[in-house]
Amino acid sequence: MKWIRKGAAVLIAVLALSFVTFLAFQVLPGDPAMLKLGTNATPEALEALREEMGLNDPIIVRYGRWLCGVFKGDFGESLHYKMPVSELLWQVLPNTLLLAGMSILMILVIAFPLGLLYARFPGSAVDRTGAVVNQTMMAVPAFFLGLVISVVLGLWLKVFLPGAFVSYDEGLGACLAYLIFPALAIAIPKAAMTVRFLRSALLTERSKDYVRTARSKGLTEGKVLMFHMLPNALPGVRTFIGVIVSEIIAGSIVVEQVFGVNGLGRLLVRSISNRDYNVVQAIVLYIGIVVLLVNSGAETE
Amino acid sequence: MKRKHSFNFICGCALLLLTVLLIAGGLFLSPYKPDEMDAAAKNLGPSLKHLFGTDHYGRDVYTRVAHGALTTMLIGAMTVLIGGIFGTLVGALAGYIGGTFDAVIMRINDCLLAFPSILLALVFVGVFGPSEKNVVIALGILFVPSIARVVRSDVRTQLQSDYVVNAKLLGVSNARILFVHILPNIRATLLVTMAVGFNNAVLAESGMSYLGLGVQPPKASIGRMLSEGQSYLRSAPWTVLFPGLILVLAVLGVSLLSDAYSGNQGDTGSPARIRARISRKLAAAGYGTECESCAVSADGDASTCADSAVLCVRNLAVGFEKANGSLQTVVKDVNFTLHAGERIGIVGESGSGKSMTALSVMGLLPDTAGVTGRILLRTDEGLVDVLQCSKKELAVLRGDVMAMVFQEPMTSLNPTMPIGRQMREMLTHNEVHLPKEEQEKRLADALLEVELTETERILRSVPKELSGGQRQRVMIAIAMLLRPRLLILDEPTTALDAETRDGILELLEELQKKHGMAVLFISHELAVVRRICRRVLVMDDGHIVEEGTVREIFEDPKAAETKQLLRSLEGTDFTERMHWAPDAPTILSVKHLHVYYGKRRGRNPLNYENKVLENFAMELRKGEVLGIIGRSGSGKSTLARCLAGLIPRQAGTIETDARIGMVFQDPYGSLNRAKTVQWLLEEPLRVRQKKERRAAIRSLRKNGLTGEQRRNRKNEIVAMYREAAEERRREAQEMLAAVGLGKEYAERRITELSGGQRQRVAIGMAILGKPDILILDEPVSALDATVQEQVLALLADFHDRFNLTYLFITHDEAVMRRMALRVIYLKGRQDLSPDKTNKNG
Repeated sequence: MKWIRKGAAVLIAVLALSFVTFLAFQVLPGDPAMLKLGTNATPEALEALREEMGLNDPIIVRYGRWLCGVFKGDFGESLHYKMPVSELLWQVLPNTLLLAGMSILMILVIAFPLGLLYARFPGSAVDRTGAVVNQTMMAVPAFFLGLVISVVLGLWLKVFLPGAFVSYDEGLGACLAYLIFPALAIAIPKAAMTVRFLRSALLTERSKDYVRTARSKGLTEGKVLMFHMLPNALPGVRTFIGVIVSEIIAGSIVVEQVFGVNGLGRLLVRSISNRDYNVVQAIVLYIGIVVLLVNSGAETE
Repeated sequence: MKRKHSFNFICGCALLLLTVLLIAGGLFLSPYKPDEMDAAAKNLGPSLKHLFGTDHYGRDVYTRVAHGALTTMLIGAMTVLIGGIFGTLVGALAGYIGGTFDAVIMRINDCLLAFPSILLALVFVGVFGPSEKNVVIALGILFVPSIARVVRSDVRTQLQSDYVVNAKLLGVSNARILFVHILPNIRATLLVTMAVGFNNAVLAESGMSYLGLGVQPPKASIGRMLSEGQSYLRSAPWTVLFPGLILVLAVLGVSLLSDAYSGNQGDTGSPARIRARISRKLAAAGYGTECESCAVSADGDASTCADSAVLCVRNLAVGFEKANGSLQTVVKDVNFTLHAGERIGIVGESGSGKSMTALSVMGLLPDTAGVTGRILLRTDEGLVDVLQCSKKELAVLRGDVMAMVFQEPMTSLNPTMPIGRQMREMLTHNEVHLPKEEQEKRLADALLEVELTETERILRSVPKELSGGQRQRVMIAIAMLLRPRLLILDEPTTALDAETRDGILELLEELQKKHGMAVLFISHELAVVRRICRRVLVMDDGHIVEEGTVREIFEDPKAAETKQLLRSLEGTDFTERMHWAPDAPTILSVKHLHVYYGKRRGRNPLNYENKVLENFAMELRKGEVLGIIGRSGSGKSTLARCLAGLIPRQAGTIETDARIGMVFQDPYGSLNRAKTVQWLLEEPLRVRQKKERRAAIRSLRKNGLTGEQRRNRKNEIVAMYREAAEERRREAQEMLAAVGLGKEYAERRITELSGGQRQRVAIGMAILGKPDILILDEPVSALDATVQEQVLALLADFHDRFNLTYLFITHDEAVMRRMALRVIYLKGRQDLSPDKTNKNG
């Protein structure tokens, strides 16, 4: 029952989102007929094309027609690349998903051990040094970190060649090896935030009465942390990571640009510059749906 | 007193100052213009001439960084301003109005909030074109939801608190409650959210400019510089490094400052070092050394511990560090010996140091406490000094040799872990390895021993599925599981109601008889200690002031503090001090009152899930002190709030012309923490004066007055304003004196007062509202016995002095007998069994 309610809520939100994107990209930007025929076209020709494209129908009818197309996987045609939008998306989507997946993995691997360590020894030298590093890392924008990584690891230490991205269909191994570096740029600031959140969530638990009870039972400090504090802190951390995941999607837009990763973000930025609205719309809708799903999944009741 | 700033505060200020200086230097001192090109000086490294080097057009990077950073900061500030103003308005209104309006607004809000703001900003700029203005608008709008959410949830929490209820009772208008009473209380969270928003905006803007969708050239911007410099990473890394660093500097500065403001992470140093420092200070203050006063202890010898003793506490001192670094000693040279099978009680008022003594025996003192002295505990291997034990050694002693039961059964069990697992831990973590079946049997037996029969169900439940009494029984079962030599009970019955308390005490007596463990019983109630213990230590201000058998303490108390404790146990009878005529007119009459909560069942308007009051009737005569008594959940507070018109009733009539005032149980909640005592006492007068003025101004408008009369009237109103302030100050100060607080308290805040002082202010504030009837909802339940006495005396004095009628609500029969002339017993509906709560929740 809970899941049905949740599912319905997500569905409604997706529909609302699709309507908003439809309004934003199909109605607001102006007349696609004019775009197609150019400003020199005769009014008659324009009118005929509008009729043909269905632009004279009421907005709700146009929306319905567009929505049916979307359900079939048809997002229309890219005006710039002259090819179906869905095909365009498939070329870049796996790269972005690999990047996002790798970043999330890195965040978890970095954040949990550090967060637990700091919470185990609050106020200690380790904790205080960690806090300074953490604060600094949180203040670094992901794309600037990307540039620094390119200079230090790429140009000076020559661990990788910045800009020489290999797409997933040209070689998965090489693609993954390259993605480590942009993933690092995305993950470090977010991991710092997660460490901080986890630490403070654990310390909140630490001051609660049940922790004192656990100690009075003869549990060692480490066991109290792992068996009592961590399970009680997790729900909040889960929601927080949900937010982080949706921010990663946004963070990757800029970082893809820095590392020349041929992904969704790069396509989005290029399409915005080209005013290629069918593509922009599809990407926004896609990211929106992912964000909605992630958030409703991570939500704690 | 010198105020010590935190590490975060100093660093944050330093970083921000550095950023500002760098920007100012680039704007005013630099000899270059941001877009001044010099073909002869392309991609030069940092030098004295060009601090940060030059870029591929030969432009001075430092000048450009300063201009770009200024733009970025301004955009950040604008965003926060737009988002802050609209967000606060939207959030405050949604939170205050509530209902459908709130639901709709917050639904939209949550949707917007779920999306990464840079994505939405990109879309916005994509549709409306890239420009600085559009970036500000987009980021500003996108900041509204996050502020709105924070403000709304804070406003909602504040609305629940008693001080808002109090303001409503005094007749404060809605707008004034929202903007004058509530908003100052949420300023801290608001500022912190804004700092986060500023940082996000700065990062988002530079990201967008990097992508070419933000600030447009030729205007210098950090993001743009980064994207242009990227092509020259190899030859001129400084064109990227410095613009990026100034961003980091500014963002880090702001976040450190906001941390300092929200009080995240003090700079207290590592726990071990704090403990050592306090211990040193304690020793310097003369504690923990072999002193003469130690000889007071029963066995006459401070340094050795008798063979029959389970626990010897010698020269124990516990201290904390105050905010200004000075030492606050809460336990001072405590000495006692607990023999095998003996039951010792430690009594004293809260703050006397009795709980700290118990916790130091267990080695469970807070991280911030320092301790000196010796605590010798007998184990199988002989005597061990608990204070010298490492954490590991302590863990071995706990559970096995000594165990503890805490005050709050509601919070002392892990809320998410099944009871069975929590009990099993006692075995597994103390190296007791049993086959699974035997283990289960042992747990079940332990539960049976504390008279919990449904062992299977209880082992599977989580704490919230059990009642308070059941939980405390589980706690006792856990503590007794390994048959410890020493059981420490820290106010085990204080949080329970009278009947449950008797059950638990009986159980403890029985268990002690059966197993013969030594018991250290901490309580502030002499009566409870009397049942369990033979010997009593009376503590006051960290000292043991008297020690003796129960009989000695009760029949022949020596120390003044003990006498005080005993006296407050009996209490003064105040009923004779309050006068009233039995034939006085009725000023409040209630008939057929029904108040329900929860959902309605079916169509019958009187059929609800949760019937709190059913067919209740009462009458109150002028000048009377009517007591209403009942256990928790019997509807006492509901009745109080219903009479005050704060919650609706389903049926019945309440007839009264009287003004009703109210004093709440917890003055910390019912008084606004953001205001001074003076302001709080003036508020009822302010509200009344406002009403009078409004009436005066209205009369000015409507009557067909001549010009002359009109002018006179206006002058009168102006004079009213002037007099009002003076009158307010005078009346507030008179009241402050009347409730027994000195003038110096006028400018203090509630947080700087003690519990009793707070309740005095609350009473004063209620009386300044000029009520005919004062509803006292458990006004002394949160106070210590001595303070209780003083507050009750104050109330008794005010009854005649201000011509009041009291409706006195309490669960405490002893207090009731001392105050009320007539008593109504509230039975309430059947007790909430844990199963029931579970189903409803």
